[in-house]
Amino acid sequence: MNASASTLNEQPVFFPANKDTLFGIHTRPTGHDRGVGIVLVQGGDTVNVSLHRNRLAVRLARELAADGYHTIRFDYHGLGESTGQIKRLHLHHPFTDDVDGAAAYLHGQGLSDLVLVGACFGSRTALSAAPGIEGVRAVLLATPPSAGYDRTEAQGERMARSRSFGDYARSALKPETLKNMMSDRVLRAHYTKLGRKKLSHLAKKLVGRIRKSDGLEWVSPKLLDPLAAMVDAKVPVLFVYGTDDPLLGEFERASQGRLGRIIERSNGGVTLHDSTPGVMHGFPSVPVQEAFVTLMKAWILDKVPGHRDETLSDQATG
Amino acid sequence: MNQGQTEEVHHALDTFLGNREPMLESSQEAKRAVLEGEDGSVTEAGYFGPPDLQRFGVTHLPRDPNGAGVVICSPLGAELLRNNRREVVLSRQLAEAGFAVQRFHYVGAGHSDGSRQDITVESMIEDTRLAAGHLVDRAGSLSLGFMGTRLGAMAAAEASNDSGGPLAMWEPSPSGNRYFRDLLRALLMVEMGKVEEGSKPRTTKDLAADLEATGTLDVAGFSIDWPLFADARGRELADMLEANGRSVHLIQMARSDKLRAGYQKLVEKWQADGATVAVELVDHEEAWWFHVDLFRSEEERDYAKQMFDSTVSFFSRSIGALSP
Repeated sequence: MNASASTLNEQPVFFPANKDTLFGIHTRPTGHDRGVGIVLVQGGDTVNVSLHRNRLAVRLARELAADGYHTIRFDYHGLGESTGQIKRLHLHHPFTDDVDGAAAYLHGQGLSDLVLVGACFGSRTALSAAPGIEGVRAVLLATPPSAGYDRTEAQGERMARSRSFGDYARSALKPETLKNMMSDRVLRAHYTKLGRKKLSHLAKKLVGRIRKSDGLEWVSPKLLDPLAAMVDAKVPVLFVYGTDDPLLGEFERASQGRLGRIIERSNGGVTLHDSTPGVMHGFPSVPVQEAFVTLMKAWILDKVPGHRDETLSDQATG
Repeated sequence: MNQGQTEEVHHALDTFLGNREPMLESSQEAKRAVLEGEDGSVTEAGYFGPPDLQRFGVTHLPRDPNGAGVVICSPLGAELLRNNRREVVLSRQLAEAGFAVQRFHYVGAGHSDGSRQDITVESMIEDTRLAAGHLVDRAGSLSLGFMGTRLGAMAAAEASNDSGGPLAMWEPSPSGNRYFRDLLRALLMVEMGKVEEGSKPRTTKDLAADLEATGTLDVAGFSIDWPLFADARGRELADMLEANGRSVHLIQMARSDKLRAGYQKLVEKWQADGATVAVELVDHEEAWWFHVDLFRSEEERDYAKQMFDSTVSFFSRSIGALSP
């Protein structure tokens, strides 16, 4: 069993992506080299730099290296150490050029087989980019939104959607909460922001911009079209959600329409993992992060084993 | 820290203080990624420190150096992610103004080696000294200033005493106790939604007891560990800065036109000790551990521009006061 990688196995790199220069870190295998490269694509509310919450991207890269995989984690253009500027994140404008650049970097390292792994906004970006990248052998999507929202769903939006007004009122009216809010400006600021989001959400429901049921009109072609392309190319795709992810419900509703037909046509090529307890979106807890690392490593090892090391039993470490 | 690592720190400190020639180039040179900017500056991303415990760092080398440098000490956890882009933009603007700049990740954080249990305030201070030595290695002899955010301000303050240079701080944590009080309250907010009817919600004291008993707490998916808590809780920022003759710049981020009482005490103490202290009030309340706002580029935010302008101006004014 190989030890996790360290900085000794890592190489900071700058690489071109469209008209920008992106920063990334290439982690090399610590022992046996499977000849497979994995692109880790950022997402969610920790998109600012290629670390992800609690260094999850760093841990993933270093543990995958122990399993024989190359990885690259990178900063999107306009973020982290990369050049460029971005104004907003939009689900219908994924940063496919950035993923293209990262994939091209790995190709330049002699790696022809690639896996794309993305979380939230990153998952939609990875999926959008996949059909245009040579050598994609698998795509893992952690909590991808199915809908065609015009902005990324930050934690506050998710909390506003998932909790009722009564939940907020009950929390806010507890004596300890009231006492703390009187003295703590930060708590007041948090509750004010959450309250505004909840009111905004309720208002949208009232004017019909959000329907209670049937998300079929919501499902983004930018999800459906590249997914169909992956199915046609017989590339395995894994959707991952936690049991309590609101986006899981969105996925299940979306599966009643064209998404479901694409999944059926894949004959098991497109699969769903929805048994990790809790919310996975944004990886908001350490147990969820650990569960994701384990399932991701096992799935990739199963789908894209690359060059096997005949001297070892081919089991994922950790 | 083992003997080899201690020697590395002492070497870096000697280099930083000008007592020793810069280190010979090592294998870390080969790993350095270099980007030449359109303005003629150079950005280097790589590693420094002992090979078995390397720190990740980014060095900005200006096109027209003014003989001064700034070491930037980041905050931790969610605060690191939140502040990262601001630090990058600040670094680029400082480089445009002629400063060499060093940013870095502490051992156990970011892209560096180590695990989170390695992080203490003391380790952050030592990493800062190493970063300062690395900057001098890369940029040549420099007069150094330091900048720190949140708990990073403690590392910046302590390390800056070595050279006596100017110190800028963004929303510094006045004490370790205060830092952890805010952190634990953030965790309580997360837990509030999960408290069952009729059951008593936990308090910050309960959480602190849990941290001591289990060694770690999960704060919205960020691990906070006992070694950091144990080291930080007795520290007071006021006592960490040797203030006599120093230039200090403190930025408060709050929806208020008044300086917080805790910061007022810091300012008064340092002024009484002989420092020149300037304060900048930025009209923005930062939710460090919650990302409730939708994404928006830092470069577009008015309060961020105010922070960049204010900090660059402070260091530019302070160049003449820097020790050679």
